[in-house]
Amino acid sequence: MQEKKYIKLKENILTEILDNGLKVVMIPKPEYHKTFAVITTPFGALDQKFQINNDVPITIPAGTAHFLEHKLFEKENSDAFTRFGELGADANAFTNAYQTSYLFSTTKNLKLSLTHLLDFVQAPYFSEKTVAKEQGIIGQEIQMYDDDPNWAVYMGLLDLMYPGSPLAADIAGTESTIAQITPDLLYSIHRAFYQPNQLTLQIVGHFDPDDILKTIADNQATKSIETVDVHRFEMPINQPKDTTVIKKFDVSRPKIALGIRLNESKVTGSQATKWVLAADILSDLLFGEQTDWYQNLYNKGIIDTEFETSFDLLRNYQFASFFSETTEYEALTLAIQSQITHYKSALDGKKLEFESLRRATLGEGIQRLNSLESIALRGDDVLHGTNLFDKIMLLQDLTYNDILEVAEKIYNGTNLQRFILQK
Amino acid sequence: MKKIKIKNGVNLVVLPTTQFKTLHIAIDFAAPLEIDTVSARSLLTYLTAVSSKKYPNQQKVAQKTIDLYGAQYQTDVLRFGQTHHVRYSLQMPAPTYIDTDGNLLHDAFEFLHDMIFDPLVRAEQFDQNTFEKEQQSLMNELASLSDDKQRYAASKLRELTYAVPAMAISSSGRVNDVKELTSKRVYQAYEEMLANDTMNIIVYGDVDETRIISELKSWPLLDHHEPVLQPFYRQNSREILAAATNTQADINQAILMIAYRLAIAPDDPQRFVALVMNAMFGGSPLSKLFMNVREKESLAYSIYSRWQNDTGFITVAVGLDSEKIQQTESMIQAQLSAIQDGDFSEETLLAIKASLINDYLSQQDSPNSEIALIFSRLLTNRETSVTDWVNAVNAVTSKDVAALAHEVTIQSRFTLMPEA
Repeated sequence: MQEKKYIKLKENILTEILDNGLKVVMIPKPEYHKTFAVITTPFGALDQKFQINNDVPITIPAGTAHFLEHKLFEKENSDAFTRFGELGADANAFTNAYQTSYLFSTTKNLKLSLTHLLDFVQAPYFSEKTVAKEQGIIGQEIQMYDDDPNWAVYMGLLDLMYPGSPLAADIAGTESTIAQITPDLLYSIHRAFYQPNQLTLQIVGHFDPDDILKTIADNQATKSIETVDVHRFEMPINQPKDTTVIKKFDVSRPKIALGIRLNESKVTGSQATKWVLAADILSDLLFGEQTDWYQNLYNKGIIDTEFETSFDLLRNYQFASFFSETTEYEALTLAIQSQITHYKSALDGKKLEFESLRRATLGEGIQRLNSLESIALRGDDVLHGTNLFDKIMLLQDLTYNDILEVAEKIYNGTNLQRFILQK
Repeated sequence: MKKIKIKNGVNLVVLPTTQFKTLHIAIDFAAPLEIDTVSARSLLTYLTAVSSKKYPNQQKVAQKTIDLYGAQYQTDVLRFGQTHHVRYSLQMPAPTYIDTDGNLLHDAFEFLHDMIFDPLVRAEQFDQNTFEKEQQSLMNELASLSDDKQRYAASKLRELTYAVPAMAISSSGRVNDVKELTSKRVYQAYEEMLANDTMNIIVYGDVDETRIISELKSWPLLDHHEPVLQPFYRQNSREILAAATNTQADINQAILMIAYRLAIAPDDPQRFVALVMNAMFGGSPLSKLFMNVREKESLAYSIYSRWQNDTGFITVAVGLDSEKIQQTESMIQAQLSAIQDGDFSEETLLAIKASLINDYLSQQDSPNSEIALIFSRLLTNRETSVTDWVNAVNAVTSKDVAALAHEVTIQSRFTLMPEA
């Protein structure tokens, strides 16, 4: 077992890779009452095509990762979700662009819950009948998202920046894409992306690491799962569409999303996490509540506390975005554009302010450590291989120069795109 | 829980712990729920979130919270039974984890003092500019409530359900009332809050009591008569079901909401039975509604029930296809009847109790849950130890559950339909 200590944060991480390739990450928190466990495969909605052992490549219809997530709970004669309930554990699962995760938290029956988690994730049962039934349930889920204007404005912006891409497609797919899913496809995906060497099991909370690791190792030793080579195909990304799109929707005030699509950079690992941290602080420096820019727009009623900014590095999708609810969206667009055009002078002499923001961001990171779920899920483990503790520690060394460098990458030659929902 | 009486009407609870990496200070002002003051108190929380004499606008407030190492300062309104609460809270990193020569705890108390007790007021009214902006913000927020279909349907159901007008409105107020407010009127509500409300203060983190008491010395806390608070609301059963349907453009799914009355006495030990029964009905993934209506029949994507002892109601909320409303409704009724008939297994009952206990014990790992629990203890003057709570839930039998289900009666129903 490999141990990494974060003395400043008073945290410890224990890591072990089992013989079959399963990665186990343990973070003991003896003063807590519950334990949170999550098993993750780095397979999500962005994955569209793959190949096993040089066989014929397989295309994945939109919504399949999420569909598989739902189906994995259903077994021939039982339901994995119900079993967690019987054990007194609180279980869930989620799929995003780049990962699928299955999780539970519990204050008792930890070992039984943990082996149940491993067993149900590693033993799929897909049949024509269960696949057909699921199509009805997911159809409802897709509709529910469609009715949410915040979701609609976000997806609208993604489709402007990355037209027709998997990122711009709903994670749940559409009724016609999920109709193409077959049991065979699900079994192939499981064989490729759910083999032990693709999976990471994180456990955070109240437990004895040696004892728990033995339980996991014993469980894995009883299973023989073949190892296969997997190749993922990176799909080409279309050029961005129109600058502005307005869509009719029954909202009380217009909702607007603005985005800047970056030129792809090959940035990975802790460097990528550092970029995201720097971009977030940069955005605070230019558009944060403490700026003159913000206060000025707030005073004029152009923005309110709903105004938000975000920066994402999702593999080849790299973009900055802004969200607001306002009737004055033209004025807001001009104000954002102007701040971007003049970012150099706006950042001039802001070194002290950067230092305060860096400290505050560090403080926010420390506050996040209260939650076992955050420790397991709010790091960049899957995307960039940096956990939440690494991420917080990276803030320690961030410099004003890092901010200026990132600013250059984001704002130079910017093309601002907008998606607006209004009555 | 040790309650320290700082003044008449002002209580303090200090909970030292090193489990978390945060420090929390929360202040609750509680008053009887009155329809005439709800909107003013709500707007007050908007004003004091973004301004004070020392920090006159949002920019200055934000700069200060940044200097407090990314502290989160928040103001809220909430309702518990027939009480209305204005709540201030500050969360920040525990000083142990921060490299600082300063005195973070002292700075935090000083900041809260400035925001709560020294507002941006001139000549007995809030600064007019700030007032107008925040009035507009609150009106926008209340109007945009209808963008969230679930919340909108819940507010409509509330209007249908409650006999007392103050219970029927949002704890954040009403658009038209907010529009009519003046800066003077809100200042008056503020003065009344300081003079009359019960004030409870909770400090949670790696702190000691004497330090906190000495920090509070500089706060202008005065002895006053405590108001009579009614943290529980009960109303008589309706003769006729109250029902309404609205339609809305741009939605695909229908929303169905139903209110049921369950009027056990607030302190009745049956409340533990009610908790289990609600979880059996729709409050858990093992429930009848989830397992049968959603999983078995695929009638709904989302479905749950919620029991609130403070109001005496169980609410069922469903997101579904508009053509399946009648079928779903009769199926919901059938699930209730099944519970009344004791038609559930002993295994399910045990699992439901285990999951309720798991949720309860897990709350101890969240400072915000713990703080909410302590505020409710202070309000209801009722404290159940963890052991007693767990034992009481474990003692619930299937007979108890079936018997109590007979007391659940349907009162009102609201349906939100997509425009044809």
